[in-house]
This record gives sequence, structure tokens and C-alpha cells, in this order.
Amino acid sequence: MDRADALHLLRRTGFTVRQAELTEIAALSRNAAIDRLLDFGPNGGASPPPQVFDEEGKRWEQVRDLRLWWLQRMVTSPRQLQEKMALFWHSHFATSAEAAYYAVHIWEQNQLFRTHAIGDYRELVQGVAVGPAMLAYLDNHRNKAGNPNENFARELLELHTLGPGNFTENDIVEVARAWTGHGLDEGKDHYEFHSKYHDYRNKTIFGITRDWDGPAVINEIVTGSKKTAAAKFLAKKLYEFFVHETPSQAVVDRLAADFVAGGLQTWVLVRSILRSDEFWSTAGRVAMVRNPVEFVVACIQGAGSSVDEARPDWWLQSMGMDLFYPPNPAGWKLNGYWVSSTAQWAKSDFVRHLTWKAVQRDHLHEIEDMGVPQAVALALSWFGVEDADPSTRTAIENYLYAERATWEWPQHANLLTLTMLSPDIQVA
Amino acid sequence: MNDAELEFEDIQALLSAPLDNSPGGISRRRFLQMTAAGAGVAMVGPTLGHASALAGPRLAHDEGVLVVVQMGGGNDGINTVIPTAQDAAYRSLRGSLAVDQAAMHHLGGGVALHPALGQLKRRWDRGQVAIVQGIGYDNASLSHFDSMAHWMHAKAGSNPEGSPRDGWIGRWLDSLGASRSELEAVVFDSSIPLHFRGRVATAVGLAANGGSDFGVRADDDHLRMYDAMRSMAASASRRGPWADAVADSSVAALDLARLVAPAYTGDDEQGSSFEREMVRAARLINADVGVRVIGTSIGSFDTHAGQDWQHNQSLTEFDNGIERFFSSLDPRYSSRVTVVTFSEFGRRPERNGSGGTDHGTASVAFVIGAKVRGGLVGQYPSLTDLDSRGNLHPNVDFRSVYATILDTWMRASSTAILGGSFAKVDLFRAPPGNTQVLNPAPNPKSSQGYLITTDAGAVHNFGNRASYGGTAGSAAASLQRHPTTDGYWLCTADGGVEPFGTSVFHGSMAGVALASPVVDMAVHPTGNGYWLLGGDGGVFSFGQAPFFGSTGNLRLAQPVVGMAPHPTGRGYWFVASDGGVFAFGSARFFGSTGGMTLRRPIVGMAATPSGRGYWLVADDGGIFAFGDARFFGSTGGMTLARPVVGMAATPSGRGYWLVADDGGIFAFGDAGFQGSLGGQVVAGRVIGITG
Repeated sequence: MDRADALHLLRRTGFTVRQAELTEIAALSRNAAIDRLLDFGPNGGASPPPQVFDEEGKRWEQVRDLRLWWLQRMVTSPRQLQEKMALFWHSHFATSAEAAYYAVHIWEQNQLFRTHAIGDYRELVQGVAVGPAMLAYLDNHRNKAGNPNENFARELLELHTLGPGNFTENDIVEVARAWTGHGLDEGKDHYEFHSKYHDYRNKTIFGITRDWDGPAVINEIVTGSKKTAAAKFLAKKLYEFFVHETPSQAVVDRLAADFVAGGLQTWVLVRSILRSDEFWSTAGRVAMVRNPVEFVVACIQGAGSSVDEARPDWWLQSMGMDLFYPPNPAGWKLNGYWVSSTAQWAKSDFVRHLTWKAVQRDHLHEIEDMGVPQAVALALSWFGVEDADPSTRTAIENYLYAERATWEWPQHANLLTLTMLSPDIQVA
Repeated sequence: MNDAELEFEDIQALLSAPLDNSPGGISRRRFLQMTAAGAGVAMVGPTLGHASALAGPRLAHDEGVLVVVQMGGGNDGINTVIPTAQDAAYRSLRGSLAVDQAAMHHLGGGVALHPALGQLKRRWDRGQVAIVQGIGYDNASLSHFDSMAHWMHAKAGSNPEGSPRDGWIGRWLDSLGASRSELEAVVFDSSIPLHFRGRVATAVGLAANGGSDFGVRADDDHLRMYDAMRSMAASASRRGPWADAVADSSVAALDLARLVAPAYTGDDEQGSSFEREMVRAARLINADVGVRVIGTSIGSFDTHAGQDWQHNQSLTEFDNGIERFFSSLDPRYSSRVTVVTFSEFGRRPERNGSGGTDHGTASVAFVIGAKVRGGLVGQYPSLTDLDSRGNLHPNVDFRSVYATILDTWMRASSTAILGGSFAKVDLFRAPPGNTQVLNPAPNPKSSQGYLITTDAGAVHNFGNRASYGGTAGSAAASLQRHPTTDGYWLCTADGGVEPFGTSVFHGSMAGVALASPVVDMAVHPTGNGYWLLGGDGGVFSFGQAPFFGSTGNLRLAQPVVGMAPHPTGRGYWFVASDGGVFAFGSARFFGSTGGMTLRRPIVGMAATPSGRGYWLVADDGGIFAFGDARFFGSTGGMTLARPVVGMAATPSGRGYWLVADDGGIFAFGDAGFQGSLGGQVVAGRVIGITG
């Protein structure tokens, strides 16, 4: 594998590119490199900010602290793919903190995404379904026999597991009945099954009539009669996340077959995607737009900063991505969703703040005595884009030449600003 | 939805989730491009026409502008517009919350305004306020969320408890089809509320608390940085179409920032957030960058307890905000601006046990503006004939107000946008704009006078222009009038500036050794600053006039001779004697005679009022028109006794005067001839004219 391959792999599977890791990975074969990235422990020892457990704590402070905590993990974690997958799942099983009774429910769900990041898919879907965050967000805690609420049932089939075309409206009605009684305890603190609210009568789901219960429906989808459809649904969505938005049906079918053969272990699916010819093809390398979280994390790491110093949370909402507050149950979309001129203002303001912090740290010291091409090359490599487009490199070099020609003591701060605002950093 | 515990801010957030396709307030034009590009990564990336496509055309004088004020939380209509005709019922239901008769502002017609609305009362007295009484809808929801969604969605026959995805202003945007401006609808919020979201189009969200200055900084370091960003977007890269789209959006952000920058200048920190939003709204309209609808909000009016104080506070902020809006609005645009208010519901006639009022139904709406037919609209609901929940019966459907605004004020199709036909209400006495200009006589001669000056600094006035004297001593270089008053400035070749009349001194280069003498001056459109132009292309800026660049460090083939400000004040042009034009800031290059061989040297220039064109004049009176500047005639074919030395355009841009160095005047288009110095003996020679 060459450096270009290694850069592609690291940018797509993580948030940042560290020079040491780049060198190590580039020395491996593609398959060995992929296996290295997939080989992380089940959990990663995440200890959350303690104030999240304080029942009396202010919600906005708790969610803010959770947000900073997760962003900092994205910046520093050696298991970049784990956090990348957690972000994927956060959008896939979109759940807003707005509906949560306690902030700790959001952390629990987030931790579930980390634990099952590339693990057993069935366990993940089951865990999300009975997590207090999802129970509250999609109203399943209000779903009772005789007075069913279809919100969760609809999104489970349409957004979480199968996608449109693989179920009927009647399936939704019946799945909602199957999920009745799965709610929260009186204190709204944890999952509790209320048999008195559960509808024990027969339901017909996917053409099968019996006394369905909620978790059994998920098993039926993920490991039973709907297994292939469920595998294709996730294979397509993960392919779009890692490769590009227009997979062929043949690719999706092939990946889904691998996924099923691998016992619905998500790591098998991710490995198949990363090993696919499509991932390494020209089309697979066409840059994708980084979402705002990916963008700020890449900037913070590249500028040698930290989340506490950079405070990306001050600008993320204006960029359009409020972590833990997805806009709706469908989560965030890709690429064009993130391209707007007003979001660009927020990026500019964030980047200037980050630059100012870096200058205070004297981060640019080593660059000041370098020749212009060397200085620009170093700045680009900090952000994992040593392969930047020539137009980017030339524009930044010309800027620096002019700056140095104008001033006796040229400031290099804008070199950093300009690098982070280049198109190359905003895509991966 | 059970939302008893929801706060106003929560409701806003719920109703303001970013559109699926529009995080951070993506523009409709941008979105349309993205849907094209998003069809497949193999497609060629979107290309963007940069500034030209972004800068909305200035509005025509008869295009209506609408400001939609959301009074969140459910404003108590009964204590806002008090039914004095039903005083007994009012006092019995309201008890201690009933407003003192002596403190309220009586309007006649059996109603009075809350004591906090004193400024609104004065506007009412001028006939500029319509009050819609009993506005609401049948079978009203008492849920903040559902009812607000209903008012924002505003579609015929829709279920208030549904989950609408678009609103009436958003659908109006959709109905425009091909976009004209990035900024057609604007809210001062980071997320876009439901009424400003369409199916494909949506409003642009501008910063609520102070704008970014990125894109508007004028120092050389920043200008170089902006140039670098533009050059990254200049051509398709090998990174692919998405990266190119990102690069384009960076350039669009730079351009957009310049357009909205005027909304964020000056005393942003004064007053409540609503007042600041309203001042920003006025400034954005003044900037004339194509904005048609602006959304602002004020809250909370959810006065379940302690209503006396809270309602008074909220209405005071409202009253101040409305007044500051109109006092900040450029008088030139006031005839095309209307403000309309809405709230999700009124409050219950009977007060509750906590010194407050609970959720009600019908309320009042204000429609305010120079073209509004001041007065009462609809009947005040009865306080004794209440519904089963103890609430008022509405008698004007809120969509009737929207329909009237859409059809009359916005010249749109309300039936298409609202999905049905609603009875119109009488809100406007005239359509937007200055009716005097609606049917102009064919190119009538302007009655505008002019001033000319000699190199000795003597100022001569003609027509309706007044002279406040001239200067003596150093050689005069330029005479420029104040844009909005009858004052003027004279500048001299050595960089001195002298104000006359109401004009104010903002600084000069007097006493500074100049590399090249000053040859012209341009005044910022506010009159609060000006630029001086050196013959080497050096620019010196004073007061509010920002520096946008110069050719001071270039070696020019020919000296520069004249300058014209961009009508927004965000740029300028200058011209060299060989006809080369240099454009800075928002001023764009529309062509020059730099490549032609001129028989005679260029001596001056003038810009059109749109900022989309200019004229150059040669010393034989030959006129060269570029962009939207039209040719109205010249003396290029005549044999002149004396050379032409300058020109001035009329305010309409449909004519101009030329002046010769003996004071002879040549008027073209709608420029009227008001006299000249021709034939008189004048000390020195004439060097310039101003309108």
C-alpha cells in the first residue's frame, strides 16, 4: 500500500491522520491495514464526565459536557474507527437529547454505540430499542395496549432496520402492538416491562400470525425471515458512509451476502466494504464532504489543540450539526447536506478562533523560519492532506509569499486559517 | 402532544428543526444546485457564478417587503387591544388584571391599546396601523406546539395536530421558481422556523447576535486571504465535485457576508433582542440586496402567572422594537415595507388563580406600514358569548390576513400557497411603492439643480441647489454634494477637505506630503465619510468610508482622473485618462476603453444608481456607457469651444450633465438645464460638477 492509499483509508475510517500512524499503515498491505484498524477492544474504557450522573444537574450543561467529552475522544482516541462508527450509529438510530428524561440516558446510548460499534448487529438493535433514550424519543414508553403509539414501530422498520418497501402499513400497526408495555419505570430512570400494558393477543407481522412480542420482532428482522433485506439495508447505508452515495445493486447484494455469512457481525460488513474494489477505485476516492463534527475534530487535532481549548460546541449548531440533537429520526444526511454558505461562516469563525488559540500556544513557531513551500507542506501534513490539490497549495503559497514580501515580521496565523478553510480539509 | 411544560424556547426549537436538505440555513439556490449535483458523484460538480449570481438585484420600487413578527407564547389579545365597549364584562372577567381606563390609549371604535403601546398609538394616529380583531381559526388547538405549527403552516383544511413540514413563507419562496436572490427571505436565527421553510426553498438564517466579519474585513491581509480562497475555487480540482462545491460555498459565503454586513454595523447591543433584530431587519432592507421577507420574534407572552408585570415588559419591548424598526428604515424604502404580527393564540378572558391567564383562542394582529389602511378590521369577539372552554369565538381567519398580504403586498398567488381561497380583508390603501413613480411620464426633465466649481474654489449654484460658499487658496480638485442633504464638500489638490452646509469634516490629507496630487473625491452614500483619490491611484478613506484597495503600488500607464462610489458604499471605481477602469469592493468591472485607441482623454466618470454600470466621459464630451448605464447623448460629434472637464448623473440614472471648463453645461436624458456660466467671465476655470 502506498501513502495515497493509507491517507484514503485513514481519512475515511477516522477523523484525523497522525503522521506516525500514517507511516505504520503505509508499510502494511491493504488487508493487513484494514485488519489493524478493525482490531480494537470491545469498549475502549470510556469514563464519562461525572456530572452526567447528577440527577439534579442542569440538562444543557450535562449535554454540553457530554458533547465535549465525545468530541475529545474523537480527537485523541487511537481507535478512530470506533468513534467513527459511534457517530454513524448516532445518526442511524437518531435520538435527540431533547426528549430524554435524564442526560445519562444519552450517554448510555452513546456507550452502546461504542461497545457494539462493529460488533453483533442484533444486540445493538435490541439494546437501542429498550434504551431509555429511544423509549422516550420515539414515544414507546407511551405505547400501551388499547392505545398504541406507532412512532417507534414505524421508525424501527423504516429507518433502523429495513427501509421502505420491505414492510406494509399493517406491519407497522402490528409491530406497535407487539411493542406495547415496553416502557420506563415510574421514575423514568430505566427500562421496565409493564405486562398490564402489553397486548398479548395475536398479531400478524410479515405474514406470520402469533403472539408477537417486541424483541422477537427484532430477532425476526435481523436473524429471521427479513435477514437479507435487513442486511442489504445496512450494507447500502454503510457503503454510502464509507465509499460514495451511489452503490450498484450488485455491490450491495455482495456485501449483504458477506454480512449474512458473517452472522450479522458488523465488523465483517465493514471489512468487506473497506476491502472492496469500489472503495479503492477512482470513484471511491472522490472526496466526500466532512460533516461539521468530522471537520472540527480534524481541525482541532491538526492544530495541536484540544476540545477544551477550541470549544467547537460554540459553532457546531451554526454549522448545522448539533451533536445529540439530530434534526429528526432520520438523522443527518451526507455531502450536499453540509454545503451551504451560512454554514461556511460558522466554519470561518471557528477556524479563526482555533488559529488564535494556536498562535497563543506558539504553535507556528517552527514554520516561521522555513521556506514558503516547506512551511505550506508542513501545515498541510498536520491536517492529513499532504496530497492537497495543487490549486490549494499554490493559493496558500502565494498568500505566504505576499505576506512575507509585505511585512518585515510577517504573521503566519492566517496560514493556519487558510489551510483549515481550504476545500481539502473540508472533505475526506 | 402534551406540552404543558414546554417553554417558548422549546417550542421554537421544535418548530425550527433544520430542513432535511438545509442545515444551517442553506439557501434555496444552493439547495437546487445540490440536488442536481447530488444525483451522482460521477456528475460534473456544480459551478457557481459567484458574486454576480449572489447579489440580489435591488428591489423595484413597487416590490413589497414584509416583516413577520412572531409574538411567541400566546399574546393576550384582550389586554393588548382592550375592548372598552365591553367594559363591564372585561372588568368582571379580568378582575385585578383589568387595565386602568385612564392609563390606556383610546383608539375609538370601542377599543384601546395597552399603556405600554404609546409609540404604536402615535403611529395609529398617523393612519399606519391596522388592527385585526378576533383573529384565529375554528376548533383551535390550545397546545403551543400544535397551534403555532398551524399558524406557521397556514394551509387550508390542515389538521392542527399534524406534523407539517413547510410554512406559508417557505411555500411563497417555492412559488417563485427560478431564484432571484440568495437573500429573498431571511430570519435572524441559526435555525429556520417552520413558516420560513418550503418544500424545496428555505430562508437564510443570519446570525442573531452580531454577524461574522469574515468576508467583510478590508485590511490587506484579509483581502489577500479572501483572494486565496477565491483562487482555490477558481477551477475544478482533482478532488471531485463535492470538494468543488465546498470551495464554491466558501466564495458564496464571502460574497454573502459583504451583502449582509450593513445589518451588523453600529450600536448592536442596545435594547432587547427583539429591538436589535428589528434594527437589523431595517438595515438589511436599507442595504437593498434583494430581501423580500424578514422574520423576527419576541417572547415570551405565555403569561400564566404574574401577567401584569410580564405582559407590560413584553409589550414595552414590542413597542420599542416596532418604533426602532421604522426609525431605522431608510425613508426611501418605507413605502414598500409592511410589518405583520402573529401569535399562536390569545388568552382566556377569565383570569386564572395565579394572577395570569391560560391559553385562549382568538387574539389580535397588527399590520403596520406606510401603505396600510389604518383602522380596525373585523369585529371584536364577544366577552359574554364564549365557547365551551370559556374562550372567544374568532371571526377573522388568520389565513385571510395572509391571503391579503400575499396577493396585494407580495403580488403572489395566495390560493396556490395557502391551498385554498380565503376572503380578503381590507389592509392596504395602496400597493407597495411610491405611486407617483408608478406611471412616470416618458423621461421628464428632472427639476434637480447642480453645483459647479472652479479651480479657484468658487462654487456656483443652479436650480434648486443652494451654495454655502467656496474655498480660497489651494487649487480645488473636486466638488461633491452630500447624498441626502444639500451640503457639499470641496477638496483640493493638496488633500485638503472643506465641508459646507450640513456636511461634516471627517479628515483630510492636508499637511501630508502626497506622492501625487488629489484629483477627485467620492462620498459614502450615508454622507458619513468620503474617499480622496490621488493621481497615482492611491485612495485615502475617511469616516465610515472603508478602504477597498487602490492602485497606489502599481505603476499606471496613465494617471487616474476620476472616481465614483458604489451606491452601497461598499466599493468604488476609478478611471485613468486612457479609459482603464479599476473596480474595488462590491464595485464590479463592466468594461472600459482601456483597449481602444481614444481620440481624446477620459476626464471623469459617474455610476448608475443600481451600481451595475457607469459612464466615462472624454474631454470632447464623448460618452462611453457600460453595464446598465444607458447612452442619452453626447457632444462627441460637436466642436466644443472648451474641453469637457466632468460629469454628474441624475439621481434616477436616466440622464447626466457634462460641464466644460468655461462653465458651459450640456444636459442629457432627464437631466434638466438650469443655467450655466457660459458667456460669463469667471475667475479660473471650471473643474467639476455635482448633482
